Amino acid sequence: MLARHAEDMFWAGRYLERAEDTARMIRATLLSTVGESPAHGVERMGNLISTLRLEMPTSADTVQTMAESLTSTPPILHSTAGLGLDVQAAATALVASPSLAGSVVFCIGRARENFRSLRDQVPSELWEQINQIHLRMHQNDFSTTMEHDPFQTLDFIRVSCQSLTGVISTSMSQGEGYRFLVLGQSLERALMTCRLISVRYPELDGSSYDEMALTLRSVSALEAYQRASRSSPLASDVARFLLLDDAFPRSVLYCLRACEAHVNALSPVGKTPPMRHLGQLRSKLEYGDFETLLAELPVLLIDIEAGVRGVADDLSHYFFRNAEAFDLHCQAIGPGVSA
Amino acid sequence: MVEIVTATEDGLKDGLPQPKGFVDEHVDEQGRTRDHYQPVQEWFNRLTPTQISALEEARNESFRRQGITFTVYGNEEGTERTWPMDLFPRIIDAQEWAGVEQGLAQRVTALNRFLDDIYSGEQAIIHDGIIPQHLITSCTGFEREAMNVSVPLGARCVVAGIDLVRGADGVYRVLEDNLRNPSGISYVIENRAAMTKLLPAAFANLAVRSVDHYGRSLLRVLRSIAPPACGDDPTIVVLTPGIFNSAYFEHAFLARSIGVELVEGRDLMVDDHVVAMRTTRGLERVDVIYRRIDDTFLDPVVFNPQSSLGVPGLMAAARAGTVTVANAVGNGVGDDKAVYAYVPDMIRYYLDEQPKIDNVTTYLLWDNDQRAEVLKRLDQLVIKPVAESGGYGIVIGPQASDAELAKTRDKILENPRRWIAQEVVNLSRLPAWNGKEFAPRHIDLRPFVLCGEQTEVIPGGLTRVAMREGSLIVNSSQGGGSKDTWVLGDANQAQEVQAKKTQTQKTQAQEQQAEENHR
Repeated sequence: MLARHAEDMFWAGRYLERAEDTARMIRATLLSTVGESPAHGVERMGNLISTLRLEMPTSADTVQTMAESLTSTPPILHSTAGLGLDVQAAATALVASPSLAGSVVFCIGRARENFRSLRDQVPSELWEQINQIHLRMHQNDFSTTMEHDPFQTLDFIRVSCQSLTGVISTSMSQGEGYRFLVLGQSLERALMTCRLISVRYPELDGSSYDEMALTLRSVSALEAYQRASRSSPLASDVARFLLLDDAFPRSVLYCLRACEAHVNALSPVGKTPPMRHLGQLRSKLEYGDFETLLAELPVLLIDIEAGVRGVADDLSHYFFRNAEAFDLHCQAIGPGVSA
Repeated sequence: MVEIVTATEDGLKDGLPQPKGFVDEHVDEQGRTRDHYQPVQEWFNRLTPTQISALEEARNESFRRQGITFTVYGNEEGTERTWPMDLFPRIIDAQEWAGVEQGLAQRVTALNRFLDDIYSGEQAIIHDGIIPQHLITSCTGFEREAMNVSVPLGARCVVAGIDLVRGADGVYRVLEDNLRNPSGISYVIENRAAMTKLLPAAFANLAVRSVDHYGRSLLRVLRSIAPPACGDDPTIVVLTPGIFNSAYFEHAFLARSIGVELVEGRDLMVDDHVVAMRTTRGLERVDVIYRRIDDTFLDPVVFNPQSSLGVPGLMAAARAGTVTVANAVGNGVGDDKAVYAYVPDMIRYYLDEQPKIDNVTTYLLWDNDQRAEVLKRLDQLVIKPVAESGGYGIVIGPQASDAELAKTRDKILENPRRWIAQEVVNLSRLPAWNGKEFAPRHIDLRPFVLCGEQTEVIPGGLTRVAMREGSLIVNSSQGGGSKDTWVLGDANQAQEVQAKKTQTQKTQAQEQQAEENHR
């Protein structure tokens, strides 16, 4: 398939996954603030924002500016202004601010742009579905709805993304394009789970069941975890589950294996650079001694994140730019065509 | 009940005599509904305005969801609009269509002969004094770069869109030819898909001819013009300027329905006169490019050096014969509106036949006598720039202000070759929903013709509607709408279809019965 299309597929997958994961984490965070003190909520929200690696303004003023850029004027902003961050307004911005890079609306918009340039490649149903979600999110009342009814809105986003994934797996030809799309999704999912662990793990040390539950719930892992391990959760158990579980589709190891399977299938011959790097990352997790891994968890997570980014670069270099194959030709043709 | 008004100007309603000057497609001179419109008209008569509004809502929602939109340039609000399709279909009966079909095939065949004669032939038509040389060489669309670039089968115009109108006498005439990148076929197919879903009952027993096979037909034609050296399985691509182009929806639609890659200029490269696309596995050779980029953006080496949409070296590859570009470069010489005036002569010259469809009466303004006549009656004629498309730059004499006419006069005198004049055609009319009622609106028709080994005319085409009352401008870029166009199969066919349907229903009923018994 066209290198450009492969790249668009990959990014469509990443943005789609990012949108869904962001909505999930916001939902878990908001849920945990119910009935808690405002200070507690602000801390949680701050945590989330750093999990998402977003450049989120922290002073009340800038949050307000951001919220004003949305279509509604939120009076609730002032209520907790003294604390520096309004939880509700921040959540609304994270979901519905089109100008905030990384917001759900932003990610869905990007995914749609990618699918738009892939309209001849993907089933019409898929395009219609993403278009419909995008249109709904751009209706005037979307941010107000999010403010008034955050849980329902977040559920709408999750269900929409899941139905997209459903269309992808049931009506799309599972050839090259599909593999790049799912590869993008899996890679992004691995990254998001890593980030979640790195932010949440310090909080878990010796803390309550609620904290554990929040962490697991934000990746829909609570029920799966409870079934897999009947003991009451320890921080290290939660970390192990999210990092290494064999069967849970959002564990880092599971995602890396999925990536590996797709990259292997996509690579024509021999071991390509993205294959090698994925293999190294995965075996580090798979064959490492868990106690050792746990002891150096922060470093490990940083390594994995960097490793996953490196794989994305490899993919770009190897499949999307096709650097080796093109360099020669471009020199021959001269300026005007850059690989 | 919805009233179908047939003539608002004089306040005349259905059942009363027509005002002079227009043909109403669905009623005859006595105001009686024509036979082939009878079932549909009855069907619409039964709908209430509320039902119509509900259908309109469903249609908009469906188009919006599918992203069936078009872009209007220079229009700030809502640059992406949903496609305007009126619910009342245009219907053409089998016999009427047979005449149109033959006329179109004849015309496009002659035009292809002409284009090939000019670019890779002897230019016999010039030497034989049929068309003056200066007319050809002064065409904006005449590309010296295309000289002696041959095209397999001489199929320079693979996809043509020929605009037809019916004037006061009801006769079909060609208003203009579009031989470069005629767009609209995707809307023909989407209109049909939408109508089938919205008004399934209205199709009952009519044996409306299908348009859905277009992708297959186009694929066959494109395969037939592949360079002979590339073997049995040519690689075909559709070349688009990208997602910001107003017709991107159509480009993606075509790539999808042919089942080939939709490429942009940056996906292609030329090495040693071979065109290749960049894939995830390296370079893959390309044999046929169905391009939807204008000539001058196609190759920055020989055309506009600023163009980043094109592929450097593409023309050299086409000249070397390793790749076929469709439609061929330089077709603008065939749809220049001054050359248009000579198409009937081309038909006589190349095919030794009389034209089956005539032109609209046209005056050439570089001719001193014709120009003098035209300038005298500027306020009665339509003045058109020769090289534009999309309805841009047209002046309709009877509707223009004195200032506009004076300005047009100056422009004509400044460069007479750039303009033509035509008699005003009182476009035929059909009812269109204006929010309250079905009121008559002027329409034209753009059928699509495919030329490869054989010539195929797609049944019907895009009926365009001037949605403003009294307006004669139908281009969608100028606020025009569209209608689904139904070409009826002949009567025998209709019976066959009916018989088949009954048969299927019977079989289905039997199967259901069997299934139930099984339970």
